[in-house]
Amino acid sequence: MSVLAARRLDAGHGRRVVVPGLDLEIEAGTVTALVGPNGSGKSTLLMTLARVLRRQGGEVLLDGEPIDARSSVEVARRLGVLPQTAVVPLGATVREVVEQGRFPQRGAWAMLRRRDDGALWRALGLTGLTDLADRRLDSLSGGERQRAWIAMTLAQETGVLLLDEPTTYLDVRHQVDLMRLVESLRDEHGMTVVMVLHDLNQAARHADRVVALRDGRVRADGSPAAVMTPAMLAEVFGIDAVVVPDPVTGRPLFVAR
Amino acid sequence: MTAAGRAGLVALAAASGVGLVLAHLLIGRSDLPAGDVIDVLTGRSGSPAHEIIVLDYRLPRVLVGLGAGCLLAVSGVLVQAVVRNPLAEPSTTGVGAGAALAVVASLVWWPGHERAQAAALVGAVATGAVLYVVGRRALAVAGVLLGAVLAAVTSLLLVVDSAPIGTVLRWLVGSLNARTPEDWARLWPWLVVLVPLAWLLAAHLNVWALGDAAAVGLGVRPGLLVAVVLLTAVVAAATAIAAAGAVAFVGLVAPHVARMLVGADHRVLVPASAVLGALLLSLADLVAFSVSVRLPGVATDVSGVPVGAVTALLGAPVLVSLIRRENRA
Repeated sequence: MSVLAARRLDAGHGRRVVVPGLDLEIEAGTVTALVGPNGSGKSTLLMTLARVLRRQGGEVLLDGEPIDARSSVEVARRLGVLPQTAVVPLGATVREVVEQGRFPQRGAWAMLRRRDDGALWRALGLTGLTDLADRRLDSLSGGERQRAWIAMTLAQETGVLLLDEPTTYLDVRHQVDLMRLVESLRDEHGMTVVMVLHDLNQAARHADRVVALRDGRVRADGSPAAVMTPAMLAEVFGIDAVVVPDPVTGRPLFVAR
Repeated sequence: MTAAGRAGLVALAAASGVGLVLAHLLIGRSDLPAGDVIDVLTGRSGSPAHEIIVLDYRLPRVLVGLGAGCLLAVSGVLVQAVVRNPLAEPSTTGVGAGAALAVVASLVWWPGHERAQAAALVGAVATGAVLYVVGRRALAVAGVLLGAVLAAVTSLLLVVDSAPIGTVLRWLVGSLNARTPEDWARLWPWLVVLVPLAWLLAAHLNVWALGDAAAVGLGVRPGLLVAVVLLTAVVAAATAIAAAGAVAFVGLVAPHVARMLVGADHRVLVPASAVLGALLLSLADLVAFSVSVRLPGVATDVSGVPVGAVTALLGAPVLVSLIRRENRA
Protein backbone atom coordinates (compact mmCIF):
# COMPACT_ATOMS: atom_id res chain seq x y z
CA MET A 1 0.00 0.00 0.00
CA SER A 2 1.24 3.46 -0.77
CA VAL A 3 2.07 5.75 2.14
CA LEU A 4 0.94 8.91 0.41
CA ALA A 5 -1.30 9.21 -2.62
CA ALA A 6 -2.99 11.87 -4.71
CA ARG A 7 -6.28 10.98 -6.46
CA ARG A 8 -7.50 13.33 -9.18
CA LEU A 9 -5.82 16.08 -7.15
CA ASP A 10 -6.23 19.72 -8.21
CA ALA A 11 -3.51 21.83 -6.57
CA GLY A 12 -3.08 25.58 -6.82
CA HIS A 13 -3.14 28.97 -5.14
CA GLY A 14 -6.43 30.72 -4.42
CA ARG A 15 -8.71 29.92 -7.34
CA ARG A 16 -5.89 29.29 -9.81
CA VAL A 17 -5.30 25.59 -10.44
CA VAL A 18 -1.63 24.92 -11.16
CA VAL A 19 -1.63 21.13 -11.08
CA PRO A 20 -4.91 19.68 -12.47
CA GLY A 21 -6.22 16.16 -11.93
CA LEU A 22 -2.99 14.54 -10.75
CA ASP A 23 -2.65 10.90 -9.68
CA LEU A 24 0.44 9.90 -7.74
CA GLU A 25 1.33 7.00 -5.44
CA ILE A 26 4.32 7.17 -3.11
CA GLU A 27 5.59 3.78 -1.91
CA ALA A 28 6.81 3.27 1.67
CA GLY A 29 10.56 3.45 2.27
CA THR A 30 11.42 5.21 -0.98
CA VAL A 31 13.03 8.52 -1.89
CA THR A 32 11.18 10.42 -4.62
CA ALA A 33 12.47 13.58 -6.29
CA LEU A 34 10.06 16.05 -7.90
CA VAL A 35 11.83 17.98 -10.66
CA GLY A 36 10.72 20.48 -13.26
CA PRO A 37 11.33 24.00 -14.50
CA ASN A 38 10.26 27.10 -12.52
CA GLY A 39 6.47 27.36 -12.41
CA SER A 40 5.94 23.69 -13.24
CA GLY A 41 3.91 23.22 -10.04
CA LYS A 42 6.28 20.91 -8.16
CA SER A 43 6.37 22.99 -4.94
CA THR A 44 2.61 23.65 -5.19
CA LEU A 45 2.05 19.91 -5.48
CA LEU A 46 4.33 19.14 -2.52
CA MET A 47 2.71 21.77 -0.28
CA THR A 48 -0.76 20.54 -1.23
CA LEU A 49 0.23 16.95 -0.36
CA ALA A 50 1.46 18.41 2.95
CA ARG A 51 -1.99 20.08 3.49
CA VAL A 52 -0.15 23.44 3.84
CA LEU A 53 -1.98 24.63 0.71
CA ARG A 54 -5.70 23.91 0.54
CA ARG A 55 -6.45 21.55 -2.30
CA GLN A 56 -8.85 22.65 -5.01
CA GLY A 57 -10.28 19.22 -5.68
CA GLY A 58 -9.64 15.50 -5.49
CA GLU A 59 -8.15 13.67 -2.55
CA VAL A 60 -4.91 13.16 -0.68
CA LEU A 61 -4.56 9.80 1.07
CA LEU A 62 -2.15 9.25 3.97
CA ASP A 63 -1.66 5.55 4.79
CA GLY A 64 -4.65 4.83 2.58
CA GLU A 65 -7.07 7.12 4.45
CA PRO A 66 -8.22 10.62 3.45
CA ILE A 67 -5.79 13.06 5.10
CA ASP A 68 -8.72 15.06 6.58
CA ALA A 69 -9.89 11.99 8.51
CA ARG A 70 -7.18 12.72 11.09
CA SER A 71 -6.64 15.90 13.09
CA SER A 72 -3.88 18.21 11.90
CA VAL A 73 -1.70 17.27 14.91
CA GLU A 74 -2.14 13.55 14.21
CA VAL A 75 -1.09 14.15 10.60
CA ALA A 76 1.96 16.08 11.91
CA ARG A 77 3.02 13.01 13.92
CA ARG A 78 3.18 11.00 10.69
CA LEU A 79 4.17 13.61 8.09
CA GLY A 80 6.93 16.22 8.44
CA VAL A 81 7.15 19.28 6.18
CA LEU A 82 10.10 21.51 5.33
CA PRO A 83 8.62 24.62 3.69
CA GLN A 84 10.62 27.23 1.78
CA THR A 85 8.97 30.10 3.58
CA ALA A 86 9.78 29.55 7.27
CA VAL A 87 10.07 32.71 9.36
CA VAL A 88 12.96 33.29 11.78
CA PRO A 89 11.37 34.49 15.04
CA LEU A 90 12.99 37.66 16.39
CA GLY A 91 15.83 36.65 18.73
CA ALA A 92 15.09 32.90 18.75
CA THR A 93 17.96 30.45 19.25
CA VAL A 94 18.64 27.36 17.12
CA ARG A 95 17.57 25.09 19.98
CA GLU A 96 14.31 27.00 20.50
CA VAL A 97 13.40 26.70 16.82
CA VAL A 98 14.35 23.01 16.50
CA GLU A 99 12.44 22.28 19.72
CA GLN A 100 9.23 23.35 17.96
CA GLY A 101 9.52 20.17 15.89
CA ARG A 102 8.56 18.29 19.06
CA PHE A 103 5.17 20.07 19.23
CA PRO A 104 3.06 17.39 17.51
CA GLN A 105 4.66 14.45 19.37
CA ARG A 106 4.76 16.02 22.83
CA GLY A 107 1.54 18.03 22.59
CA ALA A 108 0.83 21.65 23.48
CA TRP A 109 0.49 21.08 27.24
CA ALA A 110 3.77 19.22 27.57
CA MET A 111 5.48 21.88 25.42
CA LEU A 112 4.72 24.43 28.16
CA ARG A 113 7.35 22.72 30.30
CA ARG A 114 11.00 22.89 29.38
CA ARG A 115 12.49 19.48 28.77
CA ASP A 116 15.60 18.31 27.04
CA ASP A 117 14.61 15.43 24.91
CA GLY A 118 16.63 12.96 22.92
CA ALA A 119 14.92 13.65 19.61
CA LEU A 120 15.88 17.32 19.78
CA TRP A 121 19.57 16.55 20.31
CA ARG A 122 19.57 13.75 17.73
CA ALA A 123 18.18 16.19 15.15
CA LEU A 124 20.83 18.78 16.05
CA GLY A 125 23.52 16.10 15.82
CA LEU A 126 22.36 14.77 12.43
CA THR A 127 22.52 18.29 10.94
CA GLY A 128 25.84 19.19 12.62
CA LEU A 129 24.29 21.96 14.73
CA THR A 130 25.05 20.69 18.25
CA ASP A 131 27.70 23.38 18.81
CA LEU A 132 25.43 26.13 17.48
CA ALA A 133 22.42 25.15 19.64
CA ASP A 134 22.44 28.30 21.76
CA ARG A 135 23.28 30.76 18.97
CA ARG A 136 20.63 33.15 17.70
CA LEU A 137 19.22 31.91 14.40
CA ASP A 138 19.20 35.43 12.90
CA SER A 139 22.97 35.67 13.46
CA LEU A 140 23.72 32.54 11.37
CA SER A 141 24.44 32.08 7.66
CA GLY A 142 21.76 31.05 5.19
CA GLY A 143 23.12 27.51 5.07
CA GLU A 144 23.17 27.16 8.86
CA ARG A 145 19.60 28.44 9.05
CA GLN A 146 18.51 25.95 6.40
CA ARG A 147 20.10 23.15 8.44
CA ALA A 148 18.19 24.38 11.51
CA TRP A 149 14.90 24.13 9.59
CA ILE A 150 15.84 20.62 8.45
CA ALA A 151 16.71 19.72 12.07
CA MET A 152 13.29 21.01 13.16
CA THR A 153 11.61 18.74 10.61
CA LEU A 154 13.75 15.77 11.74
CA ALA A 155 12.93 16.45 15.41
CA GLN A 156 9.31 15.81 14.44
CA GLU A 157 10.28 12.09 14.07
CA THR A 158 7.75 11.29 11.39
CA GLY A 159 7.71 8.33 9.04
CA VAL A 160 7.17 10.56 6.02
CA LEU A 161 9.15 13.68 5.09
CA LEU A 162 8.20 16.27 2.47
CA LEU A 163 11.15 18.58 1.72
CA ASP A 164 10.77 21.66 -0.48
CA GLU A 165 14.17 22.47 -2.00
CA PRO A 166 16.11 21.25 1.05
CA THR A 167 19.53 21.97 -0.48
CA THR A 168 18.84 25.70 -0.98
CA TYR A 169 21.58 27.91 0.56
CA LEU A 170 23.73 24.87 1.40
CA ASP A 171 27.35 24.73 0.27
CA VAL A 172 28.47 21.66 -1.68
CA ARG A 173 29.68 19.73 1.34
CA HIS A 174 26.45 20.25 3.26
CA GLN A 175 24.44 19.33 0.16
CA VAL A 176 26.31 16.01 -0.02
CA ASP A 177 25.84 15.49 3.73
CA LEU A 178 22.11 16.16 3.45
CA MET A 179 21.63 13.74 0.56
CA ARG A 180 23.53 11.03 2.48
CA LEU A 181 21.34 11.80 5.52
CA VAL A 182 18.20 11.32 3.39
CA GLU A 183 19.53 7.96 2.15
CA SER A 184 20.35 6.81 5.67
CA LEU A 185 16.89 7.86 6.93
CA ARG A 186 15.43 5.60 4.26
CA ASP A 187 17.84 2.69 4.81
CA GLU A 188 18.05 2.70 8.61
CA HIS A 189 14.64 4.04 9.63
CA GLY A 190 12.52 2.98 6.66
CA MET A 191 11.43 6.58 6.13
CA THR A 192 9.62 7.79 3.04
CA VAL A 193 10.96 11.02 1.55
CA VAL A 194 9.48 13.20 -1.20
CA MET A 195 11.59 16.22 -2.09
CA VAL A 196 11.61 19.01 -4.62
CA LEU A 197 15.10 19.35 -6.11
CA HIS A 198 16.47 21.80 -8.65
CA ASP A 199 19.69 19.90 -9.28
CA LEU A 200 18.80 17.06 -11.71
CA ASN A 201 22.08 15.25 -11.19
CA GLN A 202 21.47 15.28 -7.44
CA ALA A 203 17.97 13.88 -8.04
CA ALA A 204 19.31 11.14 -10.32
CA ARG A 205 22.08 10.26 -7.91
CA HIS A 206 20.08 10.03 -4.68
CA ALA A 207 16.42 9.35 -5.53
CA ASP A 208 14.84 5.95 -6.17
CA ARG A 209 12.27 7.59 -8.38
CA VAL A 210 12.21 10.84 -10.34
CA VAL A 211 8.94 12.57 -11.26
CA ALA A 212 9.36 15.32 -13.87
CA LEU A 213 6.62 17.94 -14.13
CA ARG A 214 5.95 20.64 -16.67
CA ASP A 215 2.94 22.96 -16.70
CA GLY A 216 1.37 21.01 -13.85
CA ARG A 217 1.45 17.64 -15.59
CA VAL A 218 3.70 14.62 -15.08
CA ARG A 219 5.84 14.25 -18.24
CA ALA A 220 8.13 11.47 -17.01
CA ASP A 221 8.01 9.18 -13.99
CA GLY A 222 10.25 6.28 -13.04
CA SER A 223 13.75 5.25 -12.08
CA PRO A 224 16.49 7.84 -12.69
CA ALA A 225 17.77 5.77 -15.64
CA ALA A 226 14.33 5.71 -17.24
CA VAL A 227 13.58 9.41 -16.68
CA MET A 228 16.95 11.09 -17.26
CA THR A 229 17.09 10.90 -21.04
CA PRO A 230 18.06 13.50 -23.64
CA ALA A 231 14.45 13.37 -24.90
CA MET A 232 13.04 14.21 -21.43
CA LEU A 233 15.60 17.01 -20.90
CA ALA A 234 14.57 18.51 -24.22
CA GLU A 235 10.82 18.17 -23.62
CA VAL A 236 10.60 19.20 -19.97
CA PHE A 237 13.50 21.63 -19.55
CA GLY A 238 14.06 22.69 -23.16
CA ILE A 239 17.79 21.91 -23.06
CA ASP A 240 20.03 20.04 -25.45
CA ALA A 241 22.14 17.65 -23.34
CA VAL A 242 24.03 14.41 -23.31
CA VAL A 243 23.50 11.82 -20.58
CA VAL A 244 26.45 9.72 -19.41
CA PRO A 245 26.82 7.20 -16.55
CA ASP A 246 28.37 8.93 -13.53
CA PRO A 247 31.81 7.47 -12.78
CA VAL A 248 31.03 6.68 -9.11
CA THR A 249 27.61 5.00 -9.12
CA GLY A 250 26.81 4.54 -12.80
CA ARG A 251 23.61 6.57 -12.41
CA PRO A 252 22.68 8.96 -15.24
CA LEU A 253 24.54 12.28 -15.26
CA PHE A 254 23.57 15.03 -17.68
CA VAL A 255 25.84 17.61 -19.24
CA ALA A 256 24.36 20.44 -21.29
CA ARG A 257 25.72 20.79 -24.80
CA MET B 1 19.67 32.93 29.97
CA THR B 2 21.17 31.17 33.00
CA ALA B 3 19.14 30.05 36.00
CA ALA B 4 21.03 32.56 38.18
CA GLY B 5 20.29 35.37 35.75
CA ARG B 6 16.64 34.44 35.72
CA ALA B 7 16.45 34.30 39.52
CA GLY B 8 18.11 37.72 39.62
CA LEU B 9 15.50 39.16 37.26
CA VAL B 10 12.63 37.71 39.30
CA ALA B 11 14.12 39.16 42.50
CA LEU B 12 14.61 42.54 40.82
CA ALA B 13 11.01 42.55 39.56
CA ALA B 14 9.65 41.63 42.99
CA ALA B 15 11.72 44.34 44.68
CA SER B 16 10.59 46.94 42.12
CA GLY B 17 6.99 45.90 42.63
CA VAL B 18 7.16 46.26 46.41
CA GLY B 19 9.02 49.58 46.05
CA LEU B 20 6.42 50.96 43.62
CA VAL B 21 3.49 49.93 45.82
CA LEU B 22 5.10 51.51 48.89
CA ALA B 23 5.94 54.71 46.98
CA HIS B 24 2.34 54.99 45.74
CA LEU B 25 0.98 54.45 49.25
CA LEU B 26 3.36 56.95 50.85
CA ILE B 27 3.10 59.79 48.33
CA GLY B 28 -0.05 61.88 48.22
CA ARG B 29 -1.54 65.30 48.58
CA SER B 30 -2.26 64.88 52.28
CA ASP B 31 1.03 64.67 54.19
CA LEU B 32 0.36 61.39 55.88
CA PRO B 33 3.47 60.30 57.85
CA ALA B 34 4.99 56.99 56.72
CA GLY B 35 4.39 55.55 60.17
CA ASP B 36 0.64 56.14 59.89
CA VAL B 37 0.54 54.45 56.47
CA ILE B 38 2.35 51.43 57.93
CA ASP B 39 -0.10 51.40 60.84
CA VAL B 40 -3.04 51.27 58.42
CA LEU B 41 -1.45 48.46 56.43
CA THR B 42 -0.72 46.39 59.53
CA GLY B 43 -4.22 47.01 60.89
CA ARG B 44 -3.12 49.01 63.95
CA SER B 45 -4.53 52.37 62.93
CA GLY B 46 -7.38 53.86 64.91
CA SER B 47 -8.05 56.70 62.48
CA PRO B 48 -10.82 56.06 59.91
CA ALA B 49 -9.60 59.08 57.91
CA HIS B 50 -6.18 57.48 57.46
CA GLU B 51 -7.77 54.20 56.44
CA ILE B 52 -9.86 55.94 53.81
CA ILE B 53 -6.82 57.78 52.38
CA VAL B 54 -4.63 54.67 52.19
CA LEU B 55 -7.12 51.89 51.44
CA ASP B 56 -9.78 53.71 49.39
CA TYR B 57 -7.73 56.33 47.54
CA ARG B 58 -4.11 55.26 47.26
CA LEU B 59 -4.32 51.45 47.21
CA PRO B 60 -6.91 51.15 44.37
CA ARG B 61 -4.85 53.50 42.24
CA VAL B 62 -1.68 51.41 42.48
CA LEU B 63 -3.54 48.10 42.13
CA VAL B 64 -5.51 49.24 39.07
CA GLY B 65 -2.27 50.60 37.58
CA LEU B 66 -0.45 47.29 38.03
CA GLY B 67 -3.40 45.27 36.71
CA ALA B 68 -4.12 47.44 33.70
CA GLY B 69 -0.42 47.61 32.77
CA CYS B 70 -0.22 43.83 32.99
CA LEU B 71 -3.25 43.35 30.70
CA LEU B 72 -2.05 45.94 28.17
CA ALA B 73 1.33 44.17 27.91
CA VAL B 74 -0.32 40.73 27.61
CA SER B 75 -2.59 42.08 24.90
CA GLY B 76 0.43 43.56 23.09
CA VAL B 77 2.53 40.40 23.22
CA LEU B 78 -0.40 38.27 21.97
CA VAL B 79 -1.21 40.49 19.00
CA GLN B 80 2.49 40.83 18.15
CA ALA B 81 2.73 37.03 18.11
CA VAL B 82 -0.29 36.61 15.83
CA VAL B 83 0.78 39.19 13.24
CA ARG B 84 4.51 38.44 13.73
CA ASN B 85 5.16 42.17 14.03
CA PRO B 86 6.62 43.73 17.21
CA LEU B 87 4.89 47.05 16.45
CA ALA B 88 1.36 45.77 17.10
CA GLU B 89 -0.40 46.86 20.31
CA PRO B 90 -3.82 48.29 21.26
CA SER B 91 -2.85 51.81 20.15
CA THR B 92 -1.46 50.69 16.76
CA THR B 93 -4.17 48.15 15.88
CA GLY B 94 -7.15 50.47 16.45
CA VAL B 95 -8.47 48.24 19.25
CA GLY B 96 -7.65 50.94 21.82
CA ALA B 97 -9.38 53.61 19.73
CA GLY B 98 -12.40 51.32 19.25
CA ALA B 99 -12.72 50.69 22.99
CA ALA B 100 -12.25 54.40 23.79
CA LEU B 101 -14.90 55.39 21.22
CA ALA B 102 -17.40 52.97 22.71
CA VAL B 103 -16.69 54.18 26.26
CA VAL B 104 -17.01 57.85 25.22
CA ALA B 105 -20.22 57.12 23.33
CA SER B 106 -21.66 55.34 26.36
CA LEU B 107 -20.66 58.30 28.58
CA VAL B 108 -22.43 60.73 26.25
CA TRP B 109 -25.68 58.80 26.46
CA TRP B 110 -25.48 57.37 29.98
CA PRO B 111 -23.22 59.38 32.33
CA GLY B 112 -21.39 57.28 34.92
CA HIS B 113 -18.67 54.66 34.69
CA GLU B 114 -20.72 51.54 35.42
CA ARG B 115 -21.01 50.71 31.73
CA ALA B 116 -17.36 51.38 30.88
CA GLN B 117 -16.31 47.71 30.97
CA ALA B 118 -19.19 46.54 28.79
CA ALA B 119 -18.75 49.44 26.37
CA ALA B 120 -14.98 48.92 26.10
CA LEU B 121 -15.53 45.22 25.44
CA VAL B 122 -18.10 45.87 22.73
CA GLY B 123 -15.90 48.52 21.08
CA ALA B 124 -12.71 46.46 21.24
CA VAL B 125 -14.29 43.18 20.11
CA ALA B 126 -16.09 44.94 17.24
CA THR B 127 -12.83 46.59 16.12
CA GLY B 128 -11.01 43.28 16.46
CA ALA B 129 -13.67 41.52 14.39
CA VAL B 130 -13.44 44.14 11.64
CA LEU B 131 -9.64 43.74 11.65
CA TYR B 132 -9.92 39.95 11.51
CA VAL B 133 -12.26 40.07 8.52
CA VAL B 134 -10.86 42.91 6.41
CA GLY B 135 -7.25 43.17 7.52
CA ARG B 136 -5.96 39.68 8.23
CA ARG B 137 -3.37 39.87 5.46
CA ALA B 138 -2.11 43.37 6.34
CA LEU B 139 -3.10 43.80 9.97
CA ALA B 140 -0.54 46.51 10.73
CA VAL B 141 -1.68 48.94 8.03
CA ALA B 142 -5.39 48.14 8.50
CA GLY B 143 -5.05 48.70 12.27
CA VAL B 144 -3.47 52.14 11.98
CA LEU B 145 -6.12 53.22 9.44
CA LEU B 146 -8.94 51.86 11.58
CA GLY B 147 -7.53 53.61 14.66
CA ALA B 148 -7.38 56.95 12.83
CA VAL B 149 -10.99 56.62 11.62
CA LEU B 150 -12.25 55.65 15.10
CA ALA B 151 -10.36 58.54 16.76
CA ALA B 152 -11.92 60.92 14.21
CA VAL B 153 -15.41 59.58 15.01
CA THR B 154 -14.69 60.09 18.73
CA SER B 155 -13.69 63.72 18.14
CA LEU B 156 -16.85 64.21 16.09
CA LEU B 157 -18.91 62.85 18.97
CA LEU B 158 -17.28 65.40 21.29
CA VAL B 159 -18.05 68.26 18.93
CA VAL B 160 -21.68 67.22 18.46
CA ASP B 161 -22.34 66.54 22.12
CA SER B 162 -20.71 68.64 24.82
CA ALA B 163 -19.60 65.76 27.03
CA PRO B 164 -17.50 66.65 30.09
CA ILE B 165 -14.20 67.04 28.30
CA GLY B 166 -11.99 66.24 31.31
CA THR B 167 -13.67 62.91 31.90
CA VAL B 168 -13.64 62.06 28.22
CA LEU B 169 -9.97 62.91 27.79
CA ARG B 170 -9.25 60.53 30.63
CA TRP B 171 -10.50 57.62 28.50
CA LEU B 172 -8.80 58.82 25.35
CA VAL B 173 -5.34 59.42 26.85
CA GLY B 174 -5.57 57.02 29.76
CA SER B 175 -5.46 58.02 33.41
CA LEU B 176 -5.34 56.38 36.84
CA ASN B 177 -6.42 59.49 38.71
CA ALA B 178 -9.18 58.99 41.27
CA ARG B 179 -9.49 55.18 40.98
CA THR B 180 -11.87 53.54 43.43
CA PRO B 181 -11.99 50.13 45.14
CA GLU B 182 -14.88 49.32 42.76
CA ASP B 183 -12.54 49.79 39.77
CA TRP B 184 -10.18 47.21 41.25
CA ALA B 185 -13.07 44.88 42.05
CA ARG B 186 -14.13 44.99 38.40
CA LEU B 187 -10.57 44.46 37.14
CA TRP B 188 -9.05 41.61 39.14
CA PRO B 189 -11.35 38.74 38.05
CA TRP B 190 -10.29 39.36 34.44
CA LEU B 191 -6.62 39.33 35.43
CA VAL B 192 -7.05 35.95 37.10
CA VAL B 193 -8.57 34.49 33.91
CA LEU B 194 -6.72 36.27 31.08
CA VAL B 195 -3.08 36.12 32.23
CA PRO B 196 -3.03 32.32 32.77
CA LEU B 197 -4.96 31.86 29.51
CA ALA B 198 -2.33 33.90 27.63
CA TRP B 199 0.41 31.72 29.11
CA LEU B 200 -1.43 28.52 28.13
CA LEU B 201 -1.30 29.72 24.51
CA ALA B 202 2.51 30.09 24.65
CA ALA B 203 3.40 26.73 23.08
CA HIS B 204 1.08 27.43 20.14
CA LEU B 205 2.52 30.94 19.76
CA ASN B 206 6.07 29.53 19.58
CA VAL B 207 5.01 27.29 16.67
CA TRP B 208 3.02 30.08 15.00
CA ALA B 209 6.12 32.31 15.07
CA LEU B 210 7.77 30.05 12.45
CA GLY B 211 5.37 31.14 9.71
CA ASP B 212 2.05 29.84 8.39
CA ALA B 213 3.52 26.96 6.36
CA ALA B 214 5.76 25.61 9.15
CA ALA B 215 2.97 26.01 11.72
CA VAL B 216 0.49 24.03 9.58
CA GLY B 217 3.18 21.40 9.06
CA LEU B 218 3.47 21.06 12.85
CA GLY B 219 -0.29 20.59 13.23
CA VAL B 220 -1.53 24.07 14.17
CA ARG B 221 -4.92 25.13 12.76
CA PRO B 222 -4.33 28.74 11.72
CA GLY B 223 -7.92 30.07 11.68
CA LEU B 224 -8.75 28.70 15.12
CA LEU B 225 -5.47 29.79 16.72
CA VAL B 226 -5.62 33.33 15.32
CA ALA B 227 -9.24 33.71 16.45
CA VAL B 228 -8.58 32.47 20.01
CA VAL B 229 -5.42 34.57 20.48
CA LEU B 230 -6.95 37.73 19.03
CA LEU B 231 -10.08 37.34 21.15
CA THR B 232 -7.96 36.93 24.30
CA ALA B 233 -5.85 39.96 23.33
CA VAL B 234 -8.87 42.12 22.57
CA VAL B 235 -10.65 41.24 25.83
CA ALA B 236 -7.44 41.97 27.77
CA ALA B 237 -7.09 45.36 26.06
CA ALA B 238 -10.76 46.20 26.64
CA THR B 239 -10.54 45.32 30.34
CA ALA B 240 -7.41 47.44 30.79
CA ILE B 241 -8.97 50.35 28.89
CA ALA B 242 -12.19 50.14 30.92
CA ALA B 243 -10.08 50.47 34.07
CA ALA B 244 -7.46 53.00 32.98
CA GLY B 245 -8.41 54.41 29.59
CA ALA B 246 -6.61 53.89 26.28
CA VAL B 247 -3.05 54.14 27.62
CA ALA B 248 -0.70 54.00 24.62
CA PHE B 249 2.62 52.18 24.23
CA VAL B 250 2.67 49.97 27.36
CA GLY B 251 1.70 47.04 25.13
CA LEU B 252 4.61 47.96 22.86
CA VAL B 253 7.38 48.82 25.32
CA ALA B 254 6.86 46.04 27.90
CA PRO B 255 7.10 43.12 25.41
CA HIS B 256 10.01 44.87 23.66
CA VAL B 257 12.05 45.16 26.87
CA ALA B 258 10.97 41.64 27.90
CA ARG B 259 12.22 40.26 24.56
CA MET B 260 15.63 41.89 25.16
CA LEU B 261 15.79 40.43 28.69
CA VAL B 262 14.46 36.87 28.24
CA GLY B 263 14.38 36.20 24.47
CA ALA B 264 11.69 35.06 22.07
CA ASP B 265 10.32 31.97 23.83
CA HIS B 266 6.68 32.80 24.64
CA ARG B 267 6.66 30.46 27.62
CA VAL B 268 8.90 33.02 29.35
CA LEU B 269 8.10 36.08 27.24
CA VAL B 270 4.38 36.16 28.12
CA PRO B 271 4.84 36.21 31.92
CA ALA B 272 7.87 38.53 31.65
CA SER B 273 5.84 41.00 29.53
CA ALA B 274 2.95 40.82 32.00
CA VAL B 275 5.20 41.69 34.96
CA LEU B 276 7.04 44.43 33.07
CA GLY B 277 3.78 45.97 31.85
CA ALA B 278 2.48 46.13 35.42
CA LEU B 279 5.70 47.74 36.69
CA LEU B 280 5.93 50.13 33.74
CA LEU B 281 2.42 51.55 34.01
CA SER B 282 2.72 51.85 37.78
CA LEU B 283 6.06 53.67 37.44
CA ALA B 284 4.67 56.00 34.78
CA ASP B 285 1.71 56.72 37.06
CA LEU B 286 4.05 57.51 39.94
CA VAL B 287 5.73 60.07 37.64
CA ALA B 288 2.36 61.49 36.55
CA PHE B 289 1.11 61.76 40.13
CA SER B 290 4.36 63.25 41.46
CA VAL B 291 4.16 65.94 38.79
CA SER B 292 0.54 66.69 39.72
CA VAL B 293 1.44 66.95 43.42
CA ARG B 294 4.60 69.03 43.01
CA LEU B 295 3.57 71.51 40.34
CA PRO B 296 1.50 74.39 41.66
CA GLY B 297 -1.79 74.86 39.83
CA VAL B 298 -2.00 71.26 38.59
CA ALA B 299 -4.93 69.35 39.98
CA THR B 300 -4.48 65.93 41.58
CA ASP B 301 -8.08 64.84 41.13
CA VAL B 302 -9.68 63.46 37.96
CA SER B 303 -8.18 66.21 35.78
CA GLY B 304 -4.58 65.76 37.03
CA VAL B 305 -1.71 64.76 34.73
CA PRO B 306 -2.92 61.58 32.96
CA VAL B 307 -0.58 58.58 33.01
CA GLY B 308 -1.19 58.18 29.26
CA ALA B 309 0.75 61.39 28.66
CA VAL B 310 3.77 59.93 30.48
CA THR B 311 3.66 56.56 28.68
CA ALA B 312 3.38 58.36 25.34
CA LEU B 313 6.57 60.30 26.12
CA LEU B 314 8.31 57.06 27.18
CA GLY B 315 6.91 54.98 24.34
CA ALA B 316 7.47 57.20 21.34
CA PRO B 317 11.30 56.80 21.33
CA VAL B 318 10.94 53.01 21.69
CA LEU B 319 8.51 52.95 18.74
CA VAL B 320 10.92 54.98 16.62
CA SER B 321 13.84 52.68 17.46
CA LEU B 322 11.73 49.60 16.66
CA ILE B 323 10.75 51.04 13.27
CA ARG B 324 14.39 51.87 12.51
CA ARG B 325 15.43 48.33 13.38
CA GLU B 326 12.60 46.92 11.20
CA ASN B 327 13.82 49.00 8.28
CA ARG B 328 17.41 47.86 8.72
CA ALA B 329 16.46 44.18 8.90
